[in-house]
Amino acid sequence: MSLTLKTLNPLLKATQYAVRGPIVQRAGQIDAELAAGTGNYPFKNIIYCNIGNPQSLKQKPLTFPREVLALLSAPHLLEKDLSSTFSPDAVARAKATLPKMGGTGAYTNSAGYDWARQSVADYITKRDNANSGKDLGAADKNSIFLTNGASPAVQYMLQALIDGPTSGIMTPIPQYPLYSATISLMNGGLVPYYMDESKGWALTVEDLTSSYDAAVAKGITPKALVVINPGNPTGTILSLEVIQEVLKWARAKKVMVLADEVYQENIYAADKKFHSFREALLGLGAPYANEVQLASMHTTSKGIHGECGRRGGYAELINVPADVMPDFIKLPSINLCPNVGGQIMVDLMLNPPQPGDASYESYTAEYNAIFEALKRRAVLSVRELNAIPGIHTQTVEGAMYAFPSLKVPKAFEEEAAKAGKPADTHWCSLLLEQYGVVVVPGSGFGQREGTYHFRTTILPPEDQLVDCVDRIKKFQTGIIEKYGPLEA
Amino acid sequence: MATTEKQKMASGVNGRCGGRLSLDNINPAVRRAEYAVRGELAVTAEVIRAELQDPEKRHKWPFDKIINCNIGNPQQLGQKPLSFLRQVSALVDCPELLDNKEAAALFPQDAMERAGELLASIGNVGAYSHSQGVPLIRKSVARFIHERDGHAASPETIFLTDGASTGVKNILQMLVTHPKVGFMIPIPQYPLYSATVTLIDGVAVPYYMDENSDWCLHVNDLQTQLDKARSEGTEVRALCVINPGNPTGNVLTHQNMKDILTLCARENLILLADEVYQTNVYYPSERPWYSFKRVLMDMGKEVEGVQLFSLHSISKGMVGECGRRGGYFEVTGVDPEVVKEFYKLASISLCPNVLGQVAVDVMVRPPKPGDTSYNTYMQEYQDVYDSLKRRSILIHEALNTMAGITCNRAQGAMYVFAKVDFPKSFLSHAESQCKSPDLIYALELLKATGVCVVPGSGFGQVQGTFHIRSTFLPPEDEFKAFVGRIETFHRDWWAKWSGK
Repeated sequence: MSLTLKTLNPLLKATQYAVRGPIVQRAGQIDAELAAGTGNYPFKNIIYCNIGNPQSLKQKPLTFPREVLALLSAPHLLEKDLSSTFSPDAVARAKATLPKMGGTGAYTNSAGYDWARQSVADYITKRDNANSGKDLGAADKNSIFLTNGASPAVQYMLQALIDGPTSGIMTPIPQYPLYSATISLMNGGLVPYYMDESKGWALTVEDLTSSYDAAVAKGITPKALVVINPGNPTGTILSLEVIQEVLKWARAKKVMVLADEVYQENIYAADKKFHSFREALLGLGAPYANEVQLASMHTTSKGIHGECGRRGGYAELINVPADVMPDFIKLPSINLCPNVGGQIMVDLMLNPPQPGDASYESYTAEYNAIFEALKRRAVLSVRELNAIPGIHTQTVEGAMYAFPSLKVPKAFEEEAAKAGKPADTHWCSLLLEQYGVVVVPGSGFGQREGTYHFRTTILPPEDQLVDCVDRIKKFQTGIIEKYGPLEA
Repeated sequence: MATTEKQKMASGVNGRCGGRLSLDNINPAVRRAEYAVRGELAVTAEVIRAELQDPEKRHKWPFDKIINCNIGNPQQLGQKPLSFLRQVSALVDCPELLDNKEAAALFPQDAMERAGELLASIGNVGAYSHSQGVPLIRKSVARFIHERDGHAASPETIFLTDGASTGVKNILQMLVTHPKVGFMIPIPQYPLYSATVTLIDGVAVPYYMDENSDWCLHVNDLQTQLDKARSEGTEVRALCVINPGNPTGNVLTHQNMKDILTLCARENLILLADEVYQTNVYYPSERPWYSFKRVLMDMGKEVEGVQLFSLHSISKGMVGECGRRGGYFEVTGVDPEVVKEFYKLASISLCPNVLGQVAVDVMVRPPKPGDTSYNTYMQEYQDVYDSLKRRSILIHEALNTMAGITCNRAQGAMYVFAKVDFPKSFLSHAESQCKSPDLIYALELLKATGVCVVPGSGFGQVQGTFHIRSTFLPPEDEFKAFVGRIETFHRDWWAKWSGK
């Protein structure tokens, strides 16, 4: 049977991934026309605020990791005098790493280099002991596997957990649509749980329970609970107390927790701190620490490094029975191994230059500059967006996004309905066509029925971000003028 | 299932039921999937490797290192990377070097130009690229295909991937519409195919390569297997062909390829052509390699409507950049609306790693005559090729001198798939152990010599036959010693079992 739209896997057809969805693709078309000088649009350039892709928006890479990676790509350079081209500690790091690689172009162990996994284990141990002020014990490298970014780790976990539509995966609403898309592709049961926007996207176990019960009533067995902390798109950071409540709940309900912690270095709110799910779990002690199954994901794509294109990341598994591991590890084995550059990047991210190293000061200066710039733009985005009528965002405590709620005039809603689109999708489409700003409609992330949102990143350079919010303001003002006042 | 049963399960009343991941509730498709290349042999080899590094344990073993012949991983066995590729890779990671006068002394001019050109298009290698791959690099691939085949290719139907394996998984997954969708896979095959078909709940429909005719593919057999599967209610949608073959090392004849395409046209089969070994072709005048795309286009109207997916990779050939995870597939004859759905699938994983994409660019667009690096590149390339060919012959000859072992020569790829006619006594022994004899043999070979191969049962083989797959990648200066280890082991082993 030949392959046509009708004979394509229906699960793929039903799947959506709005972050690079139709609006973004349309932006690409417009961009091409602008570049070729053939388009006629009321704006000169497109501002992309749809995706957490910092280095595409002029964020500079950190120098030290790039130097090490370059030297490991071309190790013959290490025999030469590099004093005027590479910093001496980058040279030293490359020299120290090279013998551990067994050939810089070879497939590695499917879970990643052993030493890189140990590096990750050491980082986790140190981080959680420091954040908790306790000795929580050492992380186990054998429970860690490196992946091409955090996304494949999520996909492997979901593939292992899902065996048809009655396999329920509890997913936050709103969520990063990797989850909804993957669950859809694997024909699993997406079990939504809602966070309370009016309380800064608060997460309560009552919400978890009502969502769990609703699933069970439909014959779905929730197998796992996805939590994204810091939140994407919400930007919220969960407190240690809430995390521990969630873990206690997970034990009672016997669900595995999938903790997406890729934004753990993007912490902007002065009164908030990142606590990993592992820290919270081990801090609870027995019986939770021995029973709750946890998979925690991290990446090189976010944080301050922003090395998205490198595709580096890892997952750590806790309390997954040893006899499951050989089956589970088949999934990464079939793809042979995660890319070597990504693995090296994970190690470099978690083992930066230390005081006394030649690059320490410049590295720290670069790191802080990027961090401060992100923090400033987090504040700026919220302030400026909240000055726009009908648009209101919660504080961006962390991550890289604002997820404002959106109110539109009734007549606009009706026009959207006639066009067969949710109002926020229609709004985002017109925003693109009229002002050249690319954001993603809330319907791409999930939202409570009858509400609208859009997600914007905080990543454009400051002057562009100001321009961007200004365009949104003009657009929304124009919508209100044209379609009538907003309802109270 | 009654609602109360469902509710019981969900609330964990049955103890082991409920969500937690365990052996009895992990996705059963994952439990069923097998991937022998990294299966029991490889795992055992790693355990031994760790013991060899332990001063207290290393004396257990009559050898001092493991020789991995289980996987096509050339650079692990000392194959050198191509310099130009690595120079360009270093430069795109450190663009400041392009403006640094001292750096010009470290890198050839053309590497710097290529890096500059790529960066102008990519922006920054740390950013997610287009989900299908950097447009400039897809153009390079399209041009490469055009020059190779004499038929135009479009960047819009090219998808770069993290190695070819990702492409295989995505393509096959998209063809599943119900639980009885069949995928024809060669026996023996690279077990990515069988494992993937299992994982997607597809039906594997085997077709047999003919060991007695240099691993040729009989189209009659394809037809027979196809008809049989259909009569059993399987909707056979696709035919997977590996050319050059893995593990067989055969290169299909041109006529064979035409016959395959004719069959696909007649039977409405989608063709998935795994062509990752297309530059590992050792007898090009006697057995030249053609791409399926070329033969398809050459045949024209005769096979109109055939849909083809062609895969390539940076992991094999002379490039051998397995760890970088780079490759692509080209889609032919498929509705653009469907290609958009492939884009959507690719977008969920955001993009293939950018350095892998850069390596694809260099692979398909190497230095040209007149370029600074041309002579070096060609020399390095030729050296690797000549060495691979020599080693393919060495291992083929050696295996054929061993008692009970017959082996077809490797016309291409990196492997030999040697047939072992085990003594009857050993076959009985294996049966009593409930293990495949080739697995037992391979484990004993590993424990006696440190050489890690893969038993034929991992690839599929005609019932009642047994094989081992070995690569011929160990470095040339160690090759005779490596072959010698196998010879010595086998001689003693054979004497032991054939005397019984």
